[in-house]
Amino acid sequence: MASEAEHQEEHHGLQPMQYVKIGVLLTAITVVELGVSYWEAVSHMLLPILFVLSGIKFAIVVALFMHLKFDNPLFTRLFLMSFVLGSVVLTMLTALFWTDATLTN
Amino acid sequence: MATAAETIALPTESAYESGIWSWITTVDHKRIGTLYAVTGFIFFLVGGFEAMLIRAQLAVPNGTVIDASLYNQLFGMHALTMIFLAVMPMGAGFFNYMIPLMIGARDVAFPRLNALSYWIFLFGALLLTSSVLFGGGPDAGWFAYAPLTSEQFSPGRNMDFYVLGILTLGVSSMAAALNFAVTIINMRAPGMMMMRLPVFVWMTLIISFLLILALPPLTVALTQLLFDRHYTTHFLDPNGGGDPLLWQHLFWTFGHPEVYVLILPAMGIVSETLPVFSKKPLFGYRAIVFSGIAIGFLGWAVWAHHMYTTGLGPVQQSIFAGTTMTIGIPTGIKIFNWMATMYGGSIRFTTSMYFAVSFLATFTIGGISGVMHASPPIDTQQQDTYWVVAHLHYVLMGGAVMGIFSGIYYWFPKMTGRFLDEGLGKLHFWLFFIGMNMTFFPMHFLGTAGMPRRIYTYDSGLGWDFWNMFATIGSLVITVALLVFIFNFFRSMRTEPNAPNNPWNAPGLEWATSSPPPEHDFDVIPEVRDRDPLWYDRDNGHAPAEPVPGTHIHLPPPSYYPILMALGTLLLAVGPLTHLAITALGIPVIIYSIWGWALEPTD
Amino acid sequence: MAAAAQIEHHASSTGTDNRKLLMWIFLGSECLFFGSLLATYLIFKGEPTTATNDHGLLMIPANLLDIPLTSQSTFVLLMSSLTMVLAVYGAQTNRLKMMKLWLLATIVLGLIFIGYQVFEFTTFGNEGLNLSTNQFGASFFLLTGFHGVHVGIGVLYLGSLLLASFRRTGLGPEAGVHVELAGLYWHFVDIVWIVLFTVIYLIPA
Repeated sequence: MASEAEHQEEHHGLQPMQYVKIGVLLTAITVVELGVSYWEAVSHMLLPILFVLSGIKFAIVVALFMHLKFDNPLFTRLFLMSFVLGSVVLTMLTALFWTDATLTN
Repeated sequence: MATAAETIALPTESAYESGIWSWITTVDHKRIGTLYAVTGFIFFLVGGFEAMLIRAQLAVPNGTVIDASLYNQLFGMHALTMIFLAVMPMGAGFFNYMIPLMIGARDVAFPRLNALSYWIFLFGALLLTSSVLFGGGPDAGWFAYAPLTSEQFSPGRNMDFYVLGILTLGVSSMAAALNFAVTIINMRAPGMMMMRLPVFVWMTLIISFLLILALPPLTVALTQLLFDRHYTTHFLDPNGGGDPLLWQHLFWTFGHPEVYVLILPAMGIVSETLPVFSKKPLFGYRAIVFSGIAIGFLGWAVWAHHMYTTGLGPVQQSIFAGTTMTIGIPTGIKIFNWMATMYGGSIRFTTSMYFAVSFLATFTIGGISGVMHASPPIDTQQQDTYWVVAHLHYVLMGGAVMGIFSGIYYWFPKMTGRFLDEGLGKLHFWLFFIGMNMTFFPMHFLGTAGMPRRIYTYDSGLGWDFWNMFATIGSLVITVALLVFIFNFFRSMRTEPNAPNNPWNAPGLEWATSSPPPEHDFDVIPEVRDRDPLWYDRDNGHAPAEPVPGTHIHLPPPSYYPILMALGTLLLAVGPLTHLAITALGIPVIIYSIWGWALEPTD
Repeated sequence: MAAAAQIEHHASSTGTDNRKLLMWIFLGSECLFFGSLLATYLIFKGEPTTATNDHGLLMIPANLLDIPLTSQSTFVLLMSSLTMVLAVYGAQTNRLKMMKLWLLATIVLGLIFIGYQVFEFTTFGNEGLNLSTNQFGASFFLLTGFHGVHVGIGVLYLGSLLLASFRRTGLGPEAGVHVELAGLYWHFVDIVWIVLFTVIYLIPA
């Protein structure tokens, strides 16, 4: 049908080869994470390093694979609000337990 | 002059029939709203009956009306019924009926999902309530603290009904909240900018997000409880390395936003009725909206104020005391803005206005006792005493329920085309107001005198006898008030429906269409130019727009997949209580419903 | 007569599709869901345990988790996100064969991931780690179990789309939206795993 040609051009975002390159990048970061987790020299800094690397992977998938960067900013705001709120509340919750002197066993 | 019906192609009559099947398959927000409202009110009476039994038992020391085991079920069910089966659904009744009208839409974003929410609610409500017939209702309170809820200390199925009932109801609330969030964000009429939305719509948007984000932690808590009870985990069991406080933290992470879910709609309602019956626009619209948003965010940071006496420690207690006291500020801002709305206005003393003004007073009393709770040292005295019972009933009965009644008297003409009798309404109001204060004000005294909560009887000579009897008499007055209301309702329904579009001269869009509205809500989607559209149009001489000839109004057709899917959900929940084969049966029902739903035509 | 009749146009107030908005808000709630499960896991992290397996080893992450193996399954899930994005591209540009191919690939990768999980759960079970062994067992299985269920639901979701695409009318004129919605869900399940893999496997007990 004629209208399908119009739908074709609505696609925004990236081309397949770009997606493949992003996939390669994500794999590379994962390999780095793996290597770092075994590398004793940086074991005292492991947490922040992994945090940053995972965060980058997270951001890449959300922004590029999930198109958030190219979509209406409303989606970004809503998702970020939920994600930040959830992270803060649950960090508070975990901290409450980790600093709880009365926690026996 | 051609009527609207002649110039536009309205949906065929067959879609808006009467008869049970048309109600079962309805996807019309007005019908779904009516279903929610009526079901919610019936459960309100059920919860009230449970309360009356409690009051009968506590009227005298060493009462013998009911025994301890039944008493435990009653106060648990009373709270669960009132919160999940009465106040929330009655609120949902108003959201469903009014939100599309108020924003100038013809329905919600996902009409079938809307129907699904109702049917899952109904089935979940029946499941939870049926527990009293099948071994006993949940008897560890609505907050169900571990380890009382473990299999060791709650060996029957009572707590399993609790877990599965609330999980089911949670699905309903989640679906409805998602639906309303999308509807309010995306389906507003042209010109209906966010800062022109009625406050009721804003409050609904805020509670939708509260539910969407607060239900998941509850789901996790309920799952952990279920697994502890039946799958040998020890999340909440100290003997296995677990921590009962984990339940409390997760529950109240849900539970505190939940209380704002209960009160914000009522605040939205009085924000609608106070201006109309003061003949003045709402004072401080922006302040009220931003206060609501602030409450929505701050409400996440206060939950452990329900846990001051669990040994949190001074640092943690101080943090939560600070956040809890802070949240009183936006609430106070709202109260002052509502009072300022009335100040200098031309007050019309309708029943709806009586309830709205009472809300300001009785909710504030509850708010003040709440601020006192915010202080850990004071709360250490008050926790688990009748002081808390007084506080929560002042905010819920004096707040949420007063607001709901204000809304009922206000929107009754719009929904039914008839008026509730004002004389009977005022009688209802005064009986309710007096009864409510008689029942719950003395509970402040009882709390201070040391009467604990959740005890099925008490000895004489402790100084509690007089006020308990007084409170029970007060509850009888409330009962009479409700009987007056019910009588008023049925009497009004027998009158001729001839209410005009806008009997109260109100500014909102819902008053721009007939009473009750036609199936398609508006003949023409309005163009909005002001926060108070109808007052603006009246003051500037704008006539309502004429329908464009030849316009087809498309409405979604009825569907039986929502109720079928709700049935499948019910089967999933019933299985663990009886035979897992029933759960297995629910799965194909759900899959079939999803496929049918996805593939059925929607034009 | 038909030419004069106009369907009343329902533009959305923000220009976004209702269904996409719904999915994004829903994914927000899923952040809270997995966050609560993760918080539970972290709360019990480091809880001392006396439970040992047949080899006398304490049942703690350091002794049980097979990181090389789980790295493979992580890679599989990561690749499934790539295949998913290619399926969405195909659906949105009306390249229906491409869409079907990459949908199938995503489903297969998803099933392989589930296979890895089943293998890991069974191995742990044989080692003596189950829901009741210790807090690690309980919170690990609940967290990764729910994730696995989400992957399973995703596989059913994608499978339904694939099946429906073989109808005479295929997925209809809005195939792009339908597959994109599924893609959002699928990618989210993947990023949850990114977090889980880091927290559970890479950070030593």
